[in-house]
Amino acid sequence: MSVKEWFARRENQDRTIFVLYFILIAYPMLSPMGLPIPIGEPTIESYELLENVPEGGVIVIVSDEGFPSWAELGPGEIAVYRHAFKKVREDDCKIVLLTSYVVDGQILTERCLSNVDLTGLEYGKHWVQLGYIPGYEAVLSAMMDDLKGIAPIDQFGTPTKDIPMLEDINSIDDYDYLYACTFTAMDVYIRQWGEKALARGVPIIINMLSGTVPLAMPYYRAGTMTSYLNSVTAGSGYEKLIGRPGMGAALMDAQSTAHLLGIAVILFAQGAFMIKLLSKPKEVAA
Amino acid sequence: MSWLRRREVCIALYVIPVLIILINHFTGQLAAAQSEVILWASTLATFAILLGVINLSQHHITIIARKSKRWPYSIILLAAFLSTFIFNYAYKPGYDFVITRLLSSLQMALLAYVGFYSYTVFFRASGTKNPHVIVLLISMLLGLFYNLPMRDMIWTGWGPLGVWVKDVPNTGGMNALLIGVALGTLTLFLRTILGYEESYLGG
Repeated sequence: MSVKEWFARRENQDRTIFVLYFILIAYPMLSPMGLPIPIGEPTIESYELLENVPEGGVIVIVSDEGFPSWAELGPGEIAVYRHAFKKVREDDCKIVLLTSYVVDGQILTERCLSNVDLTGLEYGKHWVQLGYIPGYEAVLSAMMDDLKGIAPIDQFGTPTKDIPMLEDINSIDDYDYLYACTFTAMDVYIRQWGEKALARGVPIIINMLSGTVPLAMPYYRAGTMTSYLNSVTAGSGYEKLIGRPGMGAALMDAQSTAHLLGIAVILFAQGAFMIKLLSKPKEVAA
Repeated sequence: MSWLRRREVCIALYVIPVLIILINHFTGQLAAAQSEVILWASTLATFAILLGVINLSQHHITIIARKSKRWPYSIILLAAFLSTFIFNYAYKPGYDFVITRLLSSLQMALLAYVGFYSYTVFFRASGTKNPHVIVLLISMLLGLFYNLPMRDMIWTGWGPLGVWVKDVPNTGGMNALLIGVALGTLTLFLRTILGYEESYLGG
């Protein structure tokens, strides 16, 4: 059987693509090539908005990502956590952490915290974890008016009314920065936060999968979503901005090679077809 | 108590909370009631999870009892569910192992699988003279080049071109789509509060 005949079989085409894809993703991870990492305008905006949170400001982080999306959203999420906790150290900011969509977010919050230096910081004074509160949109809506009402206890069972940090934090009037990381639709956050946050000048930043960025553009252009992080690309850029290269930087080479394969596959298949069409137009048309 | 099962009662259970939220949105006069209604939604969501667990258990216990098709999978499911549940309360390291080493890795692997298939879809979709598909392929190529981290090494124009596509044709199309969705939602909402829409009642 010739190579041409072998490749003409569908299962062999799939196998070839799978093997190439695997090699092109695995190789850069094992042996980083150091390809350039672009930093997009929205990533810089997101960084600056967090950097500009005033002294003593309240940063709200809603971690609604799931395990399947961790490779895409994790780098940005960890970078934002590191930056937010840097604000706690330097500007005495406070952080409220919660999850509203699936319990994965609560577990991944712990994973993010394990990547942050918490030495010298005190739970309940510098940050609070409200854990997973079922209800999604209802929770996102309620936290704008009555945070302690929607979360009577924190993740560890302590009544929120007894947590010193939350004494003066209960509604949008007390927040200075709203951030969400989501692996589903991002418009939910705009729907529940947009109007009130916009009226009070509180920025909304959403870390999302690249597939949902097109949906986010009307909100971004209208200003209801202040800025956004476009998955691992923005994550690696954010790592660069905070000066802590991590998982995102390691994944960028693999993303480059994988995208190049995608481009090559399309050009090869379409190019081969066009050549065939031009050389034997009638046969192909028939 | 049969009146409780009347259609009007179910509609009222939907319409009253909705009207509270709606009236408060425009007047600000029912803030406390709205807050209470939303808190109820979160409480109900917790009960919905409990209901889901009961339904899941009931369904799979029935499959096992009847030895229906693929019943051994139901045993695996229930064993996995129960062991995770017990580990969470009785043996934390076991729970952490299940979540971080098993569940998390398996879910990531499952999504990564989609990546492999996307590339074969690229291959299958290409090789066409259909103008609509060719436009789609060109859009895909633009998207791939725009999201390619090393795009500037190939051509510095990919960035501005991608931004233009994202800001102009994409935003325009998405705006139209969102307006359509909003109008549809509004129509559905009006139909529901007027009692014309019954699909949410199981009708």
